Parts: sequence; structure tokens; C-alpha cells
Amino acid sequence: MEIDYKLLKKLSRLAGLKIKTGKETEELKDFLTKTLSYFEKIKEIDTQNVPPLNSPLSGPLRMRKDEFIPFSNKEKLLEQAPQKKGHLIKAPLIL
Amino acid sequence: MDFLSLTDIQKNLKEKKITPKELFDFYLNKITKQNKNLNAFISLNDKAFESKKKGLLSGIPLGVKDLFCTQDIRTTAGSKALENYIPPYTATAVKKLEDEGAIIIGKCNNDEFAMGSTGKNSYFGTVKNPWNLKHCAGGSSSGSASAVAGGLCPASLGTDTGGSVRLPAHYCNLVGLKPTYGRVSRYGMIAYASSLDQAGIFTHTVEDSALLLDIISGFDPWDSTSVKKEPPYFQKKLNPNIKNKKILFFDLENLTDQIQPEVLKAFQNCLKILKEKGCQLVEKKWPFLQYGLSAYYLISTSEASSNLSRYDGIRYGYKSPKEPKDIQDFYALNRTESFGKEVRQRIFMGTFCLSAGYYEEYFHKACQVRNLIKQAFDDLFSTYEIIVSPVASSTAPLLNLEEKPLQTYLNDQFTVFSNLIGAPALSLPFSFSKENLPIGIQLMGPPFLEQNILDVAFS
Repeated sequence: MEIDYKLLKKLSRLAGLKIKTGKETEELKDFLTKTLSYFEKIKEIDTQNVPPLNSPLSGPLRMRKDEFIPFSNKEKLLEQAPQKKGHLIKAPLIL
Repeated sequence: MDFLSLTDIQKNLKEKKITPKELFDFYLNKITKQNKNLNAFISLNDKAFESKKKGLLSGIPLGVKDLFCTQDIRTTAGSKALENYIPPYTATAVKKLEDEGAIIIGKCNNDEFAMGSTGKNSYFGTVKNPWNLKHCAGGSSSGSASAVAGGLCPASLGTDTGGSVRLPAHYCNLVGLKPTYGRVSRYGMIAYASSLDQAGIFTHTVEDSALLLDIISGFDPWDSTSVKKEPPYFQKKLNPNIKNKKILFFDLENLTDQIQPEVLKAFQNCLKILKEKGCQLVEKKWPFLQYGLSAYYLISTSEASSNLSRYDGIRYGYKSPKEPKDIQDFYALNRTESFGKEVRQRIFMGTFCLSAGYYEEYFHKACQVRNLIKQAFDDLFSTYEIIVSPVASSTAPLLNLEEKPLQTYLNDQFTVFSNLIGAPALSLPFSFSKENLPIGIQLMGPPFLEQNILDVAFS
């Protein structure tokens, strides 16, 4: 798989990561192209009609009830936010 | 008191040959003197010299990988992104240790977000191998291994996504256990790849490994992948009689040029010993050996790119001092400035595997291959109780060895299988190379039958 500059730009946007320098662009391009070419070995295997395995556990994941459970350490949880206003977490403008 | 096992410490405390305070001061003193050389600990919990709780581990100091959240103790995951993060809760596995009276003496260094096999990828610096400071301790649970091998604590917790407990255990002459997926709660364990991650244990002896596994195992409603099982009592059931055990080993002939001769020799000696102990040994071809690593990296990086999207700098974690242009720029600045190179590269790869147009060909395909691997191993485990193999192809590499990413990834080629299928596996100290570097042996067992591997290791 050859990774080109256009694809790198798209991945950068999707990943929420900047590519800082020209050197980093080349390194990343090289890393992705080489490692993906190696990992593409799995294409040799016939997987027709094989369902994907997403978890080593058999059966569906256990769900819990969608109910309100109070968290006892609210103050310390809020303390971790880089920007606050009173008891609220300050988020950047989205519009 | 150097390098005492947990069971010996328990005995010494019970017979009052030592007090918990003396024990704590002994280890704290060793950390103070030696951590500057090993860099095994990121944070110390030096005020916690006496546990309030009484139990099997009363007064025993333990190390915990800095990937486990610990209430009021900084938890960094080895990343600048969480450099100042103080969790408001404690991971279940750690809480279970504390409930038995253990003292968490400090948080162990690790490759950033558990991504790495060398211990060189931490924001807090490289971890060194106590057997030879010029060599790496392995990763990603590098500090947990280095701390126990260096005698800075008698046992520790690590995590294992593709070999992150077994590889450093092999490099540092320790018993390193990765239990079955679902056996130990992952609640409060900072996620790398959720379908592969599992808490693990570093100890000097197999008995200690069984003791800690008994303690940290158990159902936890806070982890949706935790499995309800009866308490197993591994330590009590340890049985060194392994006569007639059906043991499988794989033909490594095609790999002889890749495996260090001393590692191969150790493996052959191990097979000889198992035969002398009366085990029935059978050789087969390793199923999907060339494909396990590929499936593992395609899946783990995909899951990582999703898991690490939570680090946006709003609710917790690093926030850039720079003024962002917009919300997307805000996220990208915080993430780019705080993640290390390896983490960024793996997120890029995972983002690629999950992106429209490539998902079917990469992530989906890797999950299908994972299914075939699981079926092949389920089939083998219907006949054989244990699979024995080398842990890795070499002893601990030199720290200054410049490797390409792909070469480093190959360190995991024998260990990723147990994560892909969710099976337990253990790295057992076996011998030493001419350079006096440790060599371990990997024992893999069927899911939820840790007793099989613990018994063989105990024998």
C-alpha cells in the first residue's frame, strides 16, 4: 500500500493530529507504507464466509442498565479539567 | 532481605522477624538509591507506609504500572498527555491488592500508553534492565519488570496487550503472567486496545504469581468484559506433578536464522526437562505464525486510534498554551503536542485501518484472520493442555540498538497469539546467555485454565 500526501492529509484530519514538519511527513509516509506492506500478508489467507472476531469472549458483551449512579468524588473529577468556571468545565467555542 | 518472595515476606512478617515499617523503609531506601539508574518508577507514594487494611498482603509494598488509575496518586500512562493527571478513583485490580493490605509504594514507568516493547517510549525516560544497564528492560511494562528484578519491590502489576508482561519478564528473569481475558477486571486500566488488554503480574516465584492472581481475579460489574467464575484458589491447588501432561511445541525450523542460538538451545533444554518429568510432547507446525503479528497490529492500532480519541484536553489531560483557530485545531494542538512519536504513528495506522475504503480490507480482514487463529488454537487446546515456546527470539537488546519499527514489532511475534485468542500465558525464567542475560520460556494454556501453566511452571 503506497501512502500518498493526499491520504496523509485526510488521515491527519481524521486522527486529530498535526504533521509538524516536512521530515515528519516523509517519516510517516515511509512508516505507514512499509509496515502496511508487511501486514498486508494477511490478504493471502482465504477468509470467505469467516465472520470477524471482535472479542476473544464468546457471546455478546454484557450491558448494564442505563441508570443514574452518583459518583462520590465529584470535586476531584472536576479538578482535572484544564479550564473551569465554577462547577462547570469550560469548553472551546464550537461555532 | 533482597529479592525475597512474597511468601517469604509473609512468613517474616508473621514471625515478627520484620515489621511493616522496616519493610517499607527497606524498599523505599532501595528505590531512593537505585531508581536514578533504573528509572523504574515515575511517582512514589512515600507517605503510605502503613496500610489500614489487614489481609494476605498486609504491609507488603508493591509496584503498579502507571497505566492503572490510583486515586490521589498521579497516573501518567508514561505520557505528557497525562503528566499531571490525578485520578478520582482506583482501578479494580489495584483496589483488590489494597483490600488485602498491600501498600502501593509507587507507579512504574512504561512505554507511552503501553505502546512499545523496549521501555524506550516513555515521556519520563528510558527504563533500564537491572541485569545489565546497557540493555533494555523490555516493554511495555518496563518499570514494573525493572523494579522487581532490581529488588525495588517484591512484585508488581503490569498490563499485557501483545506481550507487554511476558517480554520484560523474559528480559529481566521474572515470572510474568498474563491471565485469561476476562479473568481480571480492566476497570481503571488506561485502555490501549480493549479486546486485547489484560492486567498481568510480575513476581520472583510461581507461587507468588498464583497468590496475586487469586487476589486480583474476579467478576467486576464495572468491566463489561469481566467474566463470572468461581474463585479458583490457584495457589492452594499448585501441583508440581506434571506426569503425562500433554504438551505441544511448535516446529521452529524455518525461524532458526531469526532466533538467537542460545534462546533456541534453552528452549530445547526445556523440552528435554519436560520429557524427563514424564510429559507427553508433540511437535506441530505453528498455525498462522506469519500472520499473527499482522492481525495483531492491524487490530491493536485500530482500537488504539479509537480509545485515544478521548484525549482532547477538555475534561482532563494536557491543554496546549497556544491559541487555537477553531475546535478542530484545539483538539489537534493538544494531541499533537502531548503524544510521543510511536503513539502518533500507531494512531495514524489505526485511523487508516478504520477509514472508509480501507476498513474491509484491513480491520475487518484482520478480525476474520483472528477468528481463524482462535479456531486453530481452540482445536489444539482440545487435545493439548499446554503449548510451550520461546518468549521472544533474543535476549534483551542493547539500548542503543537502532531498530526500524517493523524489526521492533517482531519482538512480539510469539506472544501476540495468546492476546488474540484471550488465552493465559506465562513467561518462566529458565537460563542465562553467555553475556549473563536472562532467557525465559513461554507457557500458554487454554482460556480460564491458568492452573495448567502455573503447575508446569511450578514443577
